[in-house]
Amino acid sequence: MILGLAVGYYLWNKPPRNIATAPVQVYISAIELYKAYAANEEASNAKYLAKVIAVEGTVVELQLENEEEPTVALATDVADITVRCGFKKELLLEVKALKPGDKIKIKGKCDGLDMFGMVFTQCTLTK
Amino acid sequence: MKKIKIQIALLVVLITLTSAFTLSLAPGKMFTKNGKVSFFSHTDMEDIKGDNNKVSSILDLKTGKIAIEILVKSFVFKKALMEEHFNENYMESSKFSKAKFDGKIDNLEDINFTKDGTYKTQVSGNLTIKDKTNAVKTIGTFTVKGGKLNGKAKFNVAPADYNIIIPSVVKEKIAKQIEITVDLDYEAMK
Repeated sequence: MILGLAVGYYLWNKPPRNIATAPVQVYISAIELYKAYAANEEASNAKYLAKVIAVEGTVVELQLENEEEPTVALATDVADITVRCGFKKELLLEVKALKPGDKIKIKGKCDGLDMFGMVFTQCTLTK
Repeated sequence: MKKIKIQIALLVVLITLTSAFTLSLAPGKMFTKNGKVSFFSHTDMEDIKGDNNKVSSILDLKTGKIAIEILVKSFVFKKALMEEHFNENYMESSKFSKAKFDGKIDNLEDINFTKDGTYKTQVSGNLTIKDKTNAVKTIGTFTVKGGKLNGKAKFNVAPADYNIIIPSVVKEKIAKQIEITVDLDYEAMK
């Protein structure tokens, strides 16, 4: 009984999964990922949505206007369409060290496609 | 000497004009790619909050049209179970990956986007959550400051209006009206 309550209490308060330490499920480039989404959003969601993905690409710009989530935008093959990778605010300095043109690999959770391209959250830099 | 004076005067006028233009918003399109939307559910049993920092929006200052897209998976929660229930049971985010708003500013004539200040606004339009679209209307503010534009609004949404079915077991934990907070920092489109 006590064990049951303890397990219940643990489950109830368990923090969300930690993307930074979760195993990578998909390796892909920012260009290929957007191509797949542009061709078929629904099929791509079935394949990539909420997955832990290591995405490789070239930095277009840093977006630091939302202090809660410093963001690195990676290039796709379409101008003005990017893969926006949101980092936790504790990682601001790591994000700030990047610059346009840098080739990097980011591990994060794929949240899908919106009007400006792909969105990743809970990102970390990876090798 | 007089010529120099005139030239200096002209220069001063030019500089003032240029800075005035760069600091005020030209009536074009504005956007954000990293806006904030939060929701808050309060009951005596539990408070549930979800934050999204990846909200995208385009605002046309000329026509007052606003488009907003919110990827449902981008909401972050304190607890794993909240995230799981929100995505899997209530929002079915694997099937309905984004929420959308398409609307307009109703009192465009009351807002001077070229003059610093905070302006009250009414925004109305269609809000789509899951496969359900409803007409909504809300009061908010636009703040113009040094060439930047911020839009804020707060309104309530009833889960029942958007085919969000709350099982009776957890009914006491989820509010009948969910408070939505919108906070968007717009920048000019190049």
